[in-house]
Amino acid sequence: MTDLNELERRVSAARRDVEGRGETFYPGPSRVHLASFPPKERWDDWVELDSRAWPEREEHRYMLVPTTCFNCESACGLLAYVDRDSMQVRKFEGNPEHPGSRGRNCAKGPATHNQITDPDRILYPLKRVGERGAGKWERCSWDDALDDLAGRIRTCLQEDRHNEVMYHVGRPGEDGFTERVIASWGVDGHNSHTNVCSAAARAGYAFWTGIDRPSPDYANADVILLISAHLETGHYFNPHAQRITEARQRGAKVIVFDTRLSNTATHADYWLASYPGSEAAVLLAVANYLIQNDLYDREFMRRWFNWQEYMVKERPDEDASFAGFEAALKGLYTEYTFDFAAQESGLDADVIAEIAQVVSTAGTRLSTHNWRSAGAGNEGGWQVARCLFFLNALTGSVATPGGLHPNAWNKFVPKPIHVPSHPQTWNELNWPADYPLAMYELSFLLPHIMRERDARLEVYFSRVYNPVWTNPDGFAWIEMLTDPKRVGLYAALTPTWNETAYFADYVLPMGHGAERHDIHSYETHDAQWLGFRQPVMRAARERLGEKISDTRQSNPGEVWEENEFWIELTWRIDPDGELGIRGFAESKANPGTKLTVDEYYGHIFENSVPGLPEVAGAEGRTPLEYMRQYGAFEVTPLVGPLYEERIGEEQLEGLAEDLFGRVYTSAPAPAPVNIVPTGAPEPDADGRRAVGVRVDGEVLRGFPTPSGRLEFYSPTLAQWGWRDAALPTYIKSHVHPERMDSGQVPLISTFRLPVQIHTRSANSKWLDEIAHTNPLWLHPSHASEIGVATGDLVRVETQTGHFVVKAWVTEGIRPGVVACSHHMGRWKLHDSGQRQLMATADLNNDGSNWGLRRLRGAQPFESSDPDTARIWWTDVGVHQNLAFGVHPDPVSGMHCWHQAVRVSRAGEGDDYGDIAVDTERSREVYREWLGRARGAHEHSPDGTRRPFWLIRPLKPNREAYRLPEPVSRDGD
Amino acid sequence: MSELLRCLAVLVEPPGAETERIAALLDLPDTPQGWEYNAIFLEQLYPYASVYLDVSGMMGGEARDRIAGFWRALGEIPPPEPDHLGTLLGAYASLADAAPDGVEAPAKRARAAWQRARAAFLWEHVLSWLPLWLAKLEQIGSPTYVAWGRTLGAWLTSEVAALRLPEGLPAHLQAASDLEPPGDDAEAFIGSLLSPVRAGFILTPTDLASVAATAGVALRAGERRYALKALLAQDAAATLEGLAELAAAPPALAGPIGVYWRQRSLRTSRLLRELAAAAR
Ligand code: SF4
Repeated sequence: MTDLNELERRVSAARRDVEGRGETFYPGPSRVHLASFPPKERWDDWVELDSRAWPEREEHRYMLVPTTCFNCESACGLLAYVDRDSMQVRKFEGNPEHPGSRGRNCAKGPATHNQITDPDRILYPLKRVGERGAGKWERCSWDDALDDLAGRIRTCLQEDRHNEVMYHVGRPGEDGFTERVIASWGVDGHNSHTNVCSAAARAGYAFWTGIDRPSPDYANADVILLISAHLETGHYFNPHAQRITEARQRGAKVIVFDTRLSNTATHADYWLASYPGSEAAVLLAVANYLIQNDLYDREFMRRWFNWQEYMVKERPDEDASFAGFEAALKGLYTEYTFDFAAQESGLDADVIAEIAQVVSTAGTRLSTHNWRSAGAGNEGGWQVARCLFFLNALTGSVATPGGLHPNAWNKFVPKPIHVPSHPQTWNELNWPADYPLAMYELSFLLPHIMRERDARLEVYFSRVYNPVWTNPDGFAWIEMLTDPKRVGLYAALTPTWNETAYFADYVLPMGHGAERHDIHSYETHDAQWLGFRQPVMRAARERLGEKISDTRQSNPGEVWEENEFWIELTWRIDPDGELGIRGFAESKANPGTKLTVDEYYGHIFENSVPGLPEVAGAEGRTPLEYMRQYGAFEVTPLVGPLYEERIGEEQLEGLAEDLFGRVYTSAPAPAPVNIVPTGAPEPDADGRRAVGVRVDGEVLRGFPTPSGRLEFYSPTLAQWGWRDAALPTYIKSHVHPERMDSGQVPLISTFRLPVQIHTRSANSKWLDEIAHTNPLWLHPSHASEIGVATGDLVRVETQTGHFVVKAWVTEGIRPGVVACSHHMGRWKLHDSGQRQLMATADLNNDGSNWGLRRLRGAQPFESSDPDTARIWWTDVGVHQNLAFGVHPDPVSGMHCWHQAVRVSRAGEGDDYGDIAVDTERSREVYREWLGRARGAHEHSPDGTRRPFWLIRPLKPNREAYRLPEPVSRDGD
Repeated sequence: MSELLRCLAVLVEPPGAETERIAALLDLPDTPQGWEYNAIFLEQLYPYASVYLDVSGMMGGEARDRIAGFWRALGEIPPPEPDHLGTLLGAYASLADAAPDGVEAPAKRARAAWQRARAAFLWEHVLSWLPLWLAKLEQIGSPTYVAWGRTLGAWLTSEVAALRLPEGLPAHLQAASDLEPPGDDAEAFIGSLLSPVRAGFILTPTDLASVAATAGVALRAGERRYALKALLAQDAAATLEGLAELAAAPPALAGPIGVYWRQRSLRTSRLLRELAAAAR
């Protein structure tokens, strides 16, 4: 008979013994130990067996160093396994101490290892030799590049040519870091990718809440409604997907709108393959159902909607009581019947009725999300997010458990060491008066605006951004970048080769996620956390006692990080402090010397993160040491409905109140602890600041909107020329059947596959092997109509040209719609560049006619990585965005990605990957869309360029908001 | 006993670097090898409770939902495969560890509550099928895994002795309808024969091979349903007779759960004999 007690004793003793040696008894995670992450107390010396040596027991000793993934915005925690013998990073896994990602990653996180070991990576600063785009480079020193840049910028500042300095960011680093650098130069030169990404959804949220991002509390939701792909690729994909999965395990229902059978749709209880652009019509039908059947949260609506303002301003002759509003509301959406929504969307009216019923059962546990998807695809797409939030507002699921929180309350941005003042300039190249309500810079219009205004940039930086490839109308970008009259110097700050960098004057290598500093905080759930990205080899060597003062000392080659770069550049622009700029790059502890990243982060962690010094102190560490050791800190575990917070007595001095209960105070504002951007409601006529809103006699914090309430009715939209869109409403998209020519179908290009990153995963061999092409999704009925089968070449004609791609015939798409994912079709013109996922192509140009022809696809090659000799794929997809004209939404400024196209069998001369575009035609498209805008010169209610209260990255001072004389559009 | 249980649970996973150490600690005759693992866990005796407890005889279904429901009732999120034997044993070990120490009344009350939860979990989701599964392992397993199974069985016996177990049949067994004679739907009947909770016995590919050999018909290579259909198509009477033989020899299992399996199996055997006679 087995003596179980004896066995138990032996097992316990053996485990203690093994673990006592610093080894692990049960290596790796298993079902038995659901999350057996290395315990954090053993991160300095962790032992693992080499899987490749199996069945031998070959032990490796590691230092586990946390950092933050840089491969999408989620900022998940990573743990670098630094081999203590070779002092090399052997792999990346999840950081269990990270409150957002909780030890988990998507495929792209561990692939950071491919990026840092990529044999094609750029290791040294390069300077162009010969023409821009000729592909000839010479190695240069950081000093030479910095002096050249600093000299030009200094001259611009001295000659009052501030608007000739521009920084254009793709993947942002630390919240506000570069904005502050640029502001310290007095330049309004921050340009972001947001208007090709999320500006539409942001507008939808901002006009409701004054905060431009949603933060759904998925894990606690009963109903999850996604107009997004958050189970596969969406923003905050991994942190959100794991919480959606938890909710599903609890029995929550998931509703997904997607014209394609996406991975997210495959997990849905309800997959709604609606016609592109019809989403808002369906949402309003659901809203109408809630309204007509009294299924809304009446009390929440009474307290928090700005219904009174709506009644007084828009229905002055009607009963202005809440009952009067309810009566009016019942009449507002009657046309949005299930049948109407069915007619617009092509969905079954019964299905829409069923999801309306499901939504009505959610109570206050309704989580919804739109980020790109329909918002980013359609003209009027911003109303998709606005109509979606309407469902949260109607059900009262705003900042409730399981509801939707405004992101600013689920995010923590600490105060930095230096805060420059607002620039006194306004850059019309980024913020033209034609689009006064644009949420972000009109970055993708830059080549058109530059040409139209005959403008010049003396110094143009791109930072982990690839506009030639990512933006629509890439040939227009090539025209701009290759014209020395337009661009004096272009510096590409990038960790890897990209299509735009080929046209740069300097290519300056910046580190990947494991080679740079940043702090991050994102709205992954109802909490606030701070994650620390750090150069892991620097941190590892410092743990062993080395002192490293410059990240280049620990990075490969001369790869740097932006933070040290910007400090150095700022110093060189103003070496003697004469321009008043140097102070922002100066140490506080040792004035007159340069600020180091250790001081910068040490200061923040010590002074600006509540609770961190105490927690670190309890372990005998400084706050910086704590963050270097664990990589993340939870500032607040649960936030909840901040709008209900009562305003303290000390802030209620010299009160004034407007007609609708907006409360203003003359008491000074307390110093903010969390400097996360939100709307900034204007003071009253006497200069008192908006402090709260009166609700049932109490002064509550409310929302950062002009009214302090949820703006069901947006007075901002109404005043700035969009009265017809001031309520949640349905705007017929530019791909609405009524607006399409015969033979045209909508092309959806707003999606990507889960394992690729927009522009910089070409250097990840694991990801490239999994996904490397982007065929055109076609429904079988459509395919048989034009006589194509899977694998056949098709020509897709857009407004500005065409591209040739392979067909993929699938029932996973709505008939009459085609789709092509946007993360593929990488190319290079010369042998230098990324070889795993970039085709070599020939670029040709004749006047305004441009063409790109693929010469060869990916091929195996010998390198320091034996895997590159095993590359078996040649196809790397097609770069469709080149053939897209620019479509700025007249309100949000978002590029409306969907295209009206004609699809036919490829002809004789067509080859795979061919792209042809006439940029003269693309300028016509630009002007066509410009004609839909309602500019500030015609519509500004107060002589300013833009509502001051709206969020704007790098906000100039109030003076700069004043509208100038209209600009000439003659150009060249 | 949670240390031992976790060790046993680790061996439900494919052999890894730690297997040698664990096999030695458990006094197994040898270190389990990959091929051995595959032959048992991937081909004969899938280590998922739902395969034995769900009326479909397949992984998932209501049986898995019931197990997941146990986690939910505790206010926990169910793990991805809550019915995997490794997970079940790991979960049980965690339940044992979670009971608080202390002699004060609140600690005693909490401990008693955990004890009840543990007993319910064991009864409903482990004892409901694992003894039957272990009995089959004893018949067809390799010496190493048989030795592992015996230790696991000994542990089960000691837990049964130590806990106050519920009296009524586990919900999985209560919910399983009897095996019905085939009507027009022969496919459904074949499916129910492959559902242990309905048929009362586990039919492995090895069993099918021995039925084929005894019946003198060819065994077609393929999954069990396909192979069984092929046997029936060749010689229905002999195949049914062979299956009846198998069902007629249920293992001797203790308690009301043992009675359930035994009665089901014998009833199926009788039914199969009648069908064989009719086929003749
Ligand atoms: S979701 Fe994936 S790519 Fe994005 S930060 Fe997390 S691990 Fe990295």
